[in-house]
Amino acid sequence: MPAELAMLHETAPAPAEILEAFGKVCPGGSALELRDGQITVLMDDLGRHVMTIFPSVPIEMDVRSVVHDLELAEAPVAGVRSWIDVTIPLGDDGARERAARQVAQLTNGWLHVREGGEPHV
Amino acid sequence: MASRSAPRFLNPISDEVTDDHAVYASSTDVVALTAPVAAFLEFCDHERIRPVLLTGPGVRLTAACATMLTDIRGFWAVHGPDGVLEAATGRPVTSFADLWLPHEAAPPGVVHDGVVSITLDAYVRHRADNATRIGVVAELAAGALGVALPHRWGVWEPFGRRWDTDAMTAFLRAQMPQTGPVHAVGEETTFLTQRVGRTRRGLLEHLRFSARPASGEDLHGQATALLARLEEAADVEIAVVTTRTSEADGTVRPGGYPATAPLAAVLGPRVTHHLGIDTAALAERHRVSSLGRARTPSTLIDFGGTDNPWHRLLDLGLALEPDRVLSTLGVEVPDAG
Repeated sequence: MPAELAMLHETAPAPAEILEAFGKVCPGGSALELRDGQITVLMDDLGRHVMTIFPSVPIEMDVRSVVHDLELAEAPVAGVRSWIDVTIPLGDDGARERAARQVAQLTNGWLHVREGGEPHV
Repeated sequence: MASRSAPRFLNPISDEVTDDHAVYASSTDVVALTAPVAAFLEFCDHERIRPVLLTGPGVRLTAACATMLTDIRGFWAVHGPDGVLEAATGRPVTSFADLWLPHEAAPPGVVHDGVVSITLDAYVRHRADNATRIGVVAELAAGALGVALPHRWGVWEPFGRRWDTDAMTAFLRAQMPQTGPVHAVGEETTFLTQRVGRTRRGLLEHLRFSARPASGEDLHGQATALLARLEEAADVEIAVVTTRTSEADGTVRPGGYPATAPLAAVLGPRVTHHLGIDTAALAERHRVSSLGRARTPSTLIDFGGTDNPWHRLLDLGLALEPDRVLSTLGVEVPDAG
């Protein structure tokens, strides 16, 4: 996707918390759940696609040992226990990424921009 | 609180969707099997359309991503200053359909040396009871190859769960009767994918385990030793060992690698019996031997010493009749049409 981001949390937020945060960031926005709620598409008040949220991936170890581009991240990485992929569709002028960052912050997390990211294998 | 309403977008997990293909354009330097990439591949597989992964030219795919893309017959294209190219060959493509439409053989492009790993592809039977643990066959393979165990596993990258056969088994058990894949990685090229399904005769685990063996010498010998160990310690149905060439960290990058080659295969005692394998007849065309119990032997085939081991493997597969093999495994074969 044009932008691949991740929200990092010390405790994985419940899907309802993410929706509530998005409601504050984008009043009048809406959400569509796909695949039994595994994928959540968030739209603004005009129905435009803002971002897509994926399930939380549990992290049981120092996240730096599984992803080694985290010097780019703003999170205190040692405490991260949840990785949530976020994708943003083509044509973002920065507003969608700002919205994703706000959602991350409102759920006590941090946004990690994966462009040029380098997960371990 | 956000409300729910009908969307106004084309597809939330793909950048382009047509009747016959879909495209995922990744912006990362290393494309991993993250939840979005996995969702895209599953979407294409479910809709029976061709997946096209479009990346930059300097990108690498993780072992998990490359394996899943290959498993569903996906395509990898790179978009660089010279336009869009087929990743493996560097052949220019003017439309994505050029990736799969008939074309003249591309001239040899860049072929990376890479490092060679041994890949075990095994179907192993387990009892459907609480004592069964998924992951022990992988541990057996790691031990036979003299490599460290995978150290973390998961469904999507980054794989963030510590290697734990109890936890993996519980996770897979919750998905029965047919699980999706779980993956694990370890040091260097060590990587595995495993699935489990319930059949009429207990659980059937499909394991693919790949690792760079402690010694790079005598790969055929290591392959046959691995299969002999597997046959001895597990209820193996069929297992094939091949080579896999990748970068030292298990990733692959645009360009070619030395072709994968089959090293050896084993047919477990049940398969050997049900297929009525005539070892003497097979031995006319293959390096075949029996192992295991004298009354219920398994069949070991070594593809060493042949100019084209793939021809030998295909020849063997045809000789065994694929439908009969699936039937023996307890896998339902859908009627044609």
